[in-house]
Amino acid sequence: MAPGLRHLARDQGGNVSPLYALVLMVLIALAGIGFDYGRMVAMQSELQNAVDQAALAAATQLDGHEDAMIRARAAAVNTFATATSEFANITRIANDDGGRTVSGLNFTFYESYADDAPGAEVTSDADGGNAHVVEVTTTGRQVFYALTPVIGAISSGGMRASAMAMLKKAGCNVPSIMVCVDRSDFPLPAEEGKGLRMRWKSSKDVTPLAPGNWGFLDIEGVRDSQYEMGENAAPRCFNLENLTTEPGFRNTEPDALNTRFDMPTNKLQCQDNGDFCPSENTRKNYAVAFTGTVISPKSTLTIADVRAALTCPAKLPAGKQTWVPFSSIGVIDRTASDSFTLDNCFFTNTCTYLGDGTWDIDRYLAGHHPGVLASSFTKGSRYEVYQWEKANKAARLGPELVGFNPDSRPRLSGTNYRHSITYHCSYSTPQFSSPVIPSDTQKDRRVLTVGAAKCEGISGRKQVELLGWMDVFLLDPSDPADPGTIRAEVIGPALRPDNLSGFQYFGKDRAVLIR
Amino acid sequence: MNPLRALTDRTGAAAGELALILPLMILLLFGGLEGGHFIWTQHKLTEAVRDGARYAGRLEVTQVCRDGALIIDPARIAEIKLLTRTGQLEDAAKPPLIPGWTSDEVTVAITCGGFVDTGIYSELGEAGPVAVVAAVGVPYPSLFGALGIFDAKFRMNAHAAAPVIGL
Repeated sequence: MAPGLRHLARDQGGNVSPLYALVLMVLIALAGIGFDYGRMVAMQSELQNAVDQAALAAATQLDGHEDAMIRARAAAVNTFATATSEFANITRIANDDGGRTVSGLNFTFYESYADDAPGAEVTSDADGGNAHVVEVTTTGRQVFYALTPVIGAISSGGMRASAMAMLKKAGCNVPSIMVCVDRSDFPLPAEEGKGLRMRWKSSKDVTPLAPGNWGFLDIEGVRDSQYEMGENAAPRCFNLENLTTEPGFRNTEPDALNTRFDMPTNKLQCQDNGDFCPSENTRKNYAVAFTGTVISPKSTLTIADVRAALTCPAKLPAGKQTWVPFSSIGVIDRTASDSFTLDNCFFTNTCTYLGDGTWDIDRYLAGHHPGVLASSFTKGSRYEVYQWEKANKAARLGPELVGFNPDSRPRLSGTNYRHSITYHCSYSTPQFSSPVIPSDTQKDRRVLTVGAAKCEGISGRKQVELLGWMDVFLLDPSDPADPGTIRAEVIGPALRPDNLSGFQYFGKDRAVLIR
Repeated sequence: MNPLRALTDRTGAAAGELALILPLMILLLFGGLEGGHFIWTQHKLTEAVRDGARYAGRLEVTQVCRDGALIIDPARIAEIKLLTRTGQLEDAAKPPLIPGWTSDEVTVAITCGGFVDTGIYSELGEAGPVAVVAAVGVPYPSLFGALGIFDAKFRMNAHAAAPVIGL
């Protein structure tokens, strides 16, 4: 060995520098791991954000209709995962060639989610109605490392994020009443003004529920008050998953319903919170009896004679008064006196539970508001007439002498007969308790929100699917001869008390992330 | 002392070499810390706008848009901004998650009808809104900006978009 080299090999001066050169690689790698690991974590959270929002967006479309899966994909991708969309969620950290937008989402649909695991996968778009859970996964995005390549690590590899979401159904601010319908797109605004005859199926009747049958819903954790039909909808929400029907008629319910028509019972008196209170307009086929005397040359009186001789007190006098149904009044012109009727097709038996909106408005107006033409109403629905009457209660809802029970033996004195009769006056504004005036927090008491359910073919206590909530206008009180039947008119999809859209107010479809 | 001896003296050679490698060491050490801190800050920003967007997404749709027009109460927008910036709603004076992040550097843009009108929105009768919460031009709170290693005027951005679904 040459003396110079031998010297170099033995020389210990400057020995830190080569050592440092070796260690530098490790130092860079250590700093790089910290830095690049941070970038991976940051990218992961960007991807997670993107899939979370996409999963929530997709879940909003899982409404049980056939095209739900197609809509779910389109909704999530077009709005939140397309580079040209202004709402695209992006990743700033990934520096592969995938672009800034977190696109290329993969969707997997499942039927259910229970015990921390999704149920059966729904693979065919045609079965979209069964898809209730959606899982969104990103395609792998990479971070190309900044510093760690010094030790050979180039990229994070494809990193994925996934999120799973579903719709949780809840009901809020509604009574637990449902009616069966025969279409899955109920309720539609186009049904406005159509008569709806809802019939209770007696518990002895073992035939399955049919469209038009109404019933109660068994709501978990909510006590059955037995008087739901008269109560104001309580501001509360309840879970509508695994909702079941609740069979068994309750005889207390018709009484509760009738309180909305100024027919309180000893037990069901108008409450401060609006329970069992009447509406402002309570026209119904009931009257109050008074006694009076008519002196007339005729031996048989007509209503016109009685009306000419006697008048109804403007206000019901104090004392114990009871409602007399029109059907038990001796002489009465039902055509002129009756309250709102169902659509004509119900009387010709050409419709089953839902009418066509054509009712005898001319008869009603001629009987109660002579001179007012049906053409003066834009829609001509019963609810519109009801509102119009309410707008001028003094002129349009005054008491009417509707009929009388004739004196079986009128006494002849001179040329005139002396008739001691009982005559009947209808009162269309509440007399027994003060009316509840609709406000931003109080619905009209004659408007009932009911759930439209797909329950055809099921009987007993069975799971039922609610399609939506609708407002119906109650036409008249429950008929003692047929207590389970509710005659109503569809107003449309349920609105809030302040008439805003009932979106997410009655039926809440909450898109929630599961994992 | 002979000045020539200083050139040949080998004592203190390690100290001299340390002096040589120190700048690079400092750069590596502080640069690594600064880089990590930058990524951490960006991560916090991403999480913050995500929280804001998710909060905005849970607003009642009917109180956000009506007939396609934005009717949201400005107080709600302020809440979204506060939540985004500080991660909470109780204390308006709480320091932001990223030091120096001001309310003006959060934007909340809600587009009525930006989403779809199908699914749960079919009941609404119009397309659902989309909320975009963004952090715009947040100054990066540099750890060692004073040392001139990192550009202290660096600004950071992040945004997150969410459909407004309601709770």
